[in-house]
Amino acid sequence: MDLNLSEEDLAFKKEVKDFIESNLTKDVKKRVSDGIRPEKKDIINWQILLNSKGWLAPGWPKKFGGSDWTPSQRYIFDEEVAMANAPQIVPFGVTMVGPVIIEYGTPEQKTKFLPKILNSTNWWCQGYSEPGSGSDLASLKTKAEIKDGCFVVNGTKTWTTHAQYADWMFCLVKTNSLVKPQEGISFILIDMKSEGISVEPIITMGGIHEVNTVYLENVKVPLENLIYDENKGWSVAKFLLSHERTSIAAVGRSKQALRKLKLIAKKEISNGVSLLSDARFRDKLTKAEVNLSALEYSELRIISMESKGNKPGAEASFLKIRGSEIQQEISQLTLEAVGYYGIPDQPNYLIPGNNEGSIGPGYSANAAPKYFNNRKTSIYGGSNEIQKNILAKMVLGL
Amino acid sequence: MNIQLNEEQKLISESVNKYIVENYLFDKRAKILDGQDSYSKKIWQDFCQLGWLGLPFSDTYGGLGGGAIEIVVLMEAFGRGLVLEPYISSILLGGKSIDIFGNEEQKKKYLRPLINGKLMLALAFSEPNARYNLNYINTKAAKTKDGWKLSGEKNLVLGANVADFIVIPARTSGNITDKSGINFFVLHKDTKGLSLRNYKTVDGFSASNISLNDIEVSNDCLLGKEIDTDFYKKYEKMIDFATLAMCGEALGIIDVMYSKTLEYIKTREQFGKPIGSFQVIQHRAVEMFMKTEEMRSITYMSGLHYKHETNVRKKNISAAKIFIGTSGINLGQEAIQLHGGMGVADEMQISHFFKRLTILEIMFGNADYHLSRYAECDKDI
Repeated sequence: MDLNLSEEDLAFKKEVKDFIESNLTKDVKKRVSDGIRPEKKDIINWQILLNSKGWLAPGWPKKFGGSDWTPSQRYIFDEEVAMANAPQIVPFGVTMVGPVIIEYGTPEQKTKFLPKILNSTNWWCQGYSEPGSGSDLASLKTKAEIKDGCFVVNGTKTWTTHAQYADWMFCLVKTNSLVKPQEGISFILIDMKSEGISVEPIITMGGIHEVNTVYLENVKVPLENLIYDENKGWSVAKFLLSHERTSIAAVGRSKQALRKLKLIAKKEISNGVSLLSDARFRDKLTKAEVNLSALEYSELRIISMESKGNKPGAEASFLKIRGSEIQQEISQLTLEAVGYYGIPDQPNYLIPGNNEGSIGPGYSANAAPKYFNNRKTSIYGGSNEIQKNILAKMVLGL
Repeated sequence: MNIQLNEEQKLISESVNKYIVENYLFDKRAKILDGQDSYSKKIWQDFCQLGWLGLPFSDTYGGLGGGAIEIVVLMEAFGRGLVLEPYISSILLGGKSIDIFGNEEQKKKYLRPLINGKLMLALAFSEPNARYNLNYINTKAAKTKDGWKLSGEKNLVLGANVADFIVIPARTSGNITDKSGINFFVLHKDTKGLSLRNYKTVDGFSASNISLNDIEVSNDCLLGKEIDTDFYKKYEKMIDFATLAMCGEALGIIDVMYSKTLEYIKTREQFGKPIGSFQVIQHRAVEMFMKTEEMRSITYMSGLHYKHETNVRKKNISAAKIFIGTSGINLGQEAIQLHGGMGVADEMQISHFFKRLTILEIMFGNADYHLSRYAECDKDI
């Protein structure tokens, strides 16, 4: 066990730094730092740049265009990218459906979908939750029946992030209602341009349009868009969730948010001194940082095990729980740090390309929306309650 | 001893709650929220007719002479409806400034029309970098031949853009954080040199940042007299009254969040049964129940001590604020969590209650601020 970076790692670190330095514009960095939502084109540009370097998909094998990094390389990269305020990579293609297609896809499916994920021509969304199926995902009702040589899909998906932008949706559907719920589910890929799909926005607490309800009415899906076997979708879903949970631990993002919080606390004045030297506040900040360190090193341990050939399992649930709690903790402290400056609602300032100055310091504009929006982190991707059920059953054997 | 509402207080509670239930429906509120002013003039006139605008004022000016508990009772019901009307900013901050600091003539000039619903007021209680310190005042009032010249910056002036007159605390002498040398000036919103940057707050109210650029005003704009050794004491007490009102509002919000969550877990089914049948959910709901009861107790406690000597009053108000910042915020977060995805949807009422509760926690000092204040008032043990 050691933390020393090898010669190669140090060279890699420098390469990453240089790459970011020469490719990420100041303007994008500032916007990411102020919480102004990046435009789709900013994200795509950044993803294309990363991909040109072979760096977009750290977890993919090299032969599919991934970077096949060692755990320490991944760690270095995540750290550098987060600290530089780079836009976040959209996870649905690269970290979610991509690994699924690599693991379970046919050669044809790999050829058809993987390159378009890497070159960002296809945006993906996830069709899992339904109005009546949240925590109890297996109870989903969206049906796919085989008629005239294709699936005909009917049902409603909800909380679908980015459905308004997506070209494709990976979707869990019921293909057999006569067996145990988990045994009658299939994992299929749906072209969002298909006839019969309508997308309705859901506005969330921070005033943000991120998620949607997706209605599927007699949507025809070719049989070749089935991933793995019919009625084996639950295994695919579990594989994907374990990948998703590692990435939604969001350690890099939390480190970035914590650093921003420290800078804010340094600038904010409380009783004539910097809030950073206010013991009452400082203690909370330190505790958050300690929690984040515990999470970070837990993640590193799990990645290390993974690199020795162990597949991520139920431990990923633990990263998801703590990761979401820490994201919430940091955003709560950030709102606390900005005091009254967090109260003005300034949606226009947070829209890309605005010409309005912020009300109060720019760093305060997103504090409240972020705090509100981050309540979702302990709910999405399998609520923390469900994650605890998984841990109790799979790890503790209860 | 009796820690229950008396007949008169029960009457207020019943009538305000009845009005809110019948008139302040969620979709109606949504329309008010979308409007530029963030409040309904029609509803304000109803408040006037029902006597609520005069609740905390003496009958000399047409008020009802209500005290701390009466305000708590009124505000609890406002919290249940998430009332957006600028009651705190216009009545409890602007109006009480005139009531406490104004001379007889000024009280007659402003309070009657205020209580009659014909005039709106606001108070500029905050400045950039002040955080929650009321004594941090960098806005200067310099004596001139015929009056005063004001210059400075104010932020988060609640209800300023719907007010006719704005009360401006300004420094007439001393250093930036001195507790003496502060006076209130009352300025018409259209006064030359007074500029407002209006915005909405994240919980749906209207507010402004104000710049005062060498504004020349006459002597009668000064509220009361220039030298008043008790000025700061009275200012703090007045803000404590508004803080107590906000605790009452938070009580109403917490009570609703608890009830709505209880209702939700009884009806939302997963794994073939209501999620409220799972022990992990039950215990959390029980926590919410206990916190709601505690919130009621501590709010009444604060109200009952409002009349007591300064340190006792301050300690008690701070206690309620601390409770909101700890148990209240936790309850709010649990309410969202137990609603699942629905909890974060803008179309669900629960998310709006959560936002207001978040801001009430910040207003006039968050838990940390009040922890310090409590300790300071509790030195003589």
